[in-house]
Amino acid sequence: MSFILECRGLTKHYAGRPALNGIDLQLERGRIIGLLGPNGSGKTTLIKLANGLLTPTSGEILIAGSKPGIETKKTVAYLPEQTYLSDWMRVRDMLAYFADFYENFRVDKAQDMLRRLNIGEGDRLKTMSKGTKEKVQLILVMSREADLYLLDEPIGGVDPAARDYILETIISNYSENATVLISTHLITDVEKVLDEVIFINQGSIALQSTVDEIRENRGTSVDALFREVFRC
Amino acid sequence: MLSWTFTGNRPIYAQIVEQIQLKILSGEYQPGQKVASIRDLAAEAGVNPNTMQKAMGELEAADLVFTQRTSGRFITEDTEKIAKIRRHYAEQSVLDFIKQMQGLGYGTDEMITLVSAIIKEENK
Amino acid sequence: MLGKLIKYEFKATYRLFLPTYLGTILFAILAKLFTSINSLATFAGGAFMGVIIAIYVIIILMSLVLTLVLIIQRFYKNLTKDEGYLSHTLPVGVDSHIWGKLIPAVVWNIATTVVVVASILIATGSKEVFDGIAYVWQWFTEFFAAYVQMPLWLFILELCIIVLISTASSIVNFYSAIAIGHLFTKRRVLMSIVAYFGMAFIVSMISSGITGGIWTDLDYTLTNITGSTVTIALAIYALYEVVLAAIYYFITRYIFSRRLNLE
Repeated sequence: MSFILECRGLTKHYAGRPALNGIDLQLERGRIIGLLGPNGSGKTTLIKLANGLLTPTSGEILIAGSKPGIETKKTVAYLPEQTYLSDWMRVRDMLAYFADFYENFRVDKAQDMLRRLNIGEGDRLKTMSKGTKEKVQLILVMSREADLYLLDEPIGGVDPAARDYILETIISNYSENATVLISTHLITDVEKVLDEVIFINQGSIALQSTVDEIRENRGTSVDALFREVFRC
Repeated sequence: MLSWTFTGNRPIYAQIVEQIQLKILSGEYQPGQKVASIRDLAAEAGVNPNTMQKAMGELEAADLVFTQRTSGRFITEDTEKIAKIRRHYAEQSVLDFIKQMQGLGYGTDEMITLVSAIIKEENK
Repeated sequence: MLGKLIKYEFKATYRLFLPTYLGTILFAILAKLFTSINSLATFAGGAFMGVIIAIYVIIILMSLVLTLVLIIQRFYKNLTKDEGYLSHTLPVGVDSHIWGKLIPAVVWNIATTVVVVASILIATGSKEVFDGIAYVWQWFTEFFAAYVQMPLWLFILELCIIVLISTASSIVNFYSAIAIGHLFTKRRVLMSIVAYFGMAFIVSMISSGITGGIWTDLDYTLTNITGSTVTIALAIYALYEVVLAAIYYFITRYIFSRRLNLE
């Protein structure tokens, strides 16, 4: 299968309300893709379905040709909005945990990044600030050599310097074999980093295009186009 | 050092090509200098590596950058070529200037006089 | 993978259990010491003794409550709250997650019971008490040998198996209540509690219907208890617990694999 992520008629209803409506989507490898849409548009639902955290109401979602399951979880790295680190652990415990469960986890890479941010391996997660915990989580996720990275709002609510660091990490982590899907509503900061964008609104895909196409053919930035398409 | 700035309405790779050309002209990138890896450049500029790759491709097609298979990418040593580009940008700036001045109602002699006078002032 | 989950589960919990166990045993020793000093025992008309005993009982109760609360809280927090975002995206099946919590939970449950019993023996231990216990044991083995045609060790083994199964069953019962509560979007904790009592009610209705029938069908008198009768009776009870446990297990498993909805 050449597509790292594929959706066919993917639909998800929660408690009667439709969150995703028959999504058809194909993502190629080696791209950094933005999943852009207002809050409640279905971005997080789509990502959770790719992770196997939700099951489709109808239609299907495939990761490198397989349904989400134990095998796909080995090659999908997920950074949710929530902080999912265990309170009782220290940073080094978390490193050991990831190394234990994920074969493709690069401890040396993580240690490097932690050092650069002055985060000690002996630091307790319980006493860390929220911002630091988020950085630790990002480092853990990006230190996995995954085929698909799903980052849900990685830069929301983070200070500008941290934002730059996160984007820099994403760029330097780039591999031709892997795809990074960034879900966000903060487009200006992220636009330069994206190959492609997908606009999603009220559970349907409004647009899928490369950033260059938008700039060349429409003469606007993605941010400007977004404001136009999603004008209130 | 010229930092990377991008505007919103043109493809980024095109802007990168321009900015690298300017860096060559300003001397920030010396002729024959080794170019950093695509990934490092992309991280420095804060752009997608594929975009940087595309920009490099254009620069190579324009013979401003060449690749030596085992050693990497280098800025051209062809100083004539660099001079040509410098001339091209200079001409563009002058043409823009002339247009602007004509819009303000200046004639050719007036323009030249004004330019000389201001340069003298600046050099004091 | 299951082994790893179990390892981390123990790592996450031993810091709470071991000190509690230590405290319980230590206090038992203290209680024993105080009560054996006669002057203290009669101090303030025995009120001092009363206080010691009261504190000691509270400590025991707390150990038992703590064990239960911790077992429930670990499952709830690690699989349905924010930590669930990590747990459920590990390359591990739902079955492993459930067993990965259940096995350590059973171990801690049994350990707490052992510690509590041991501490009671320590606190109250004296020659008279141990002699009394030995006497009762002696009487029991003789009675058993005389009336039941079955090796005692087999009976004890079967009892242990039953204890193990029913411990596991009651724990996975809590798990299924948490899972059912998870089906709702609001007030999940409340719905879990409702589910727990709801299930308990249904089970007691069904079981009094079934067991009433079974016990009367098995016709045996005191002179006629053979080993096989006992084993059959125990086996039926064990089967009943296993069926219950399996139902709770499958409820939990179904909900977590097809109806997971982390907030």
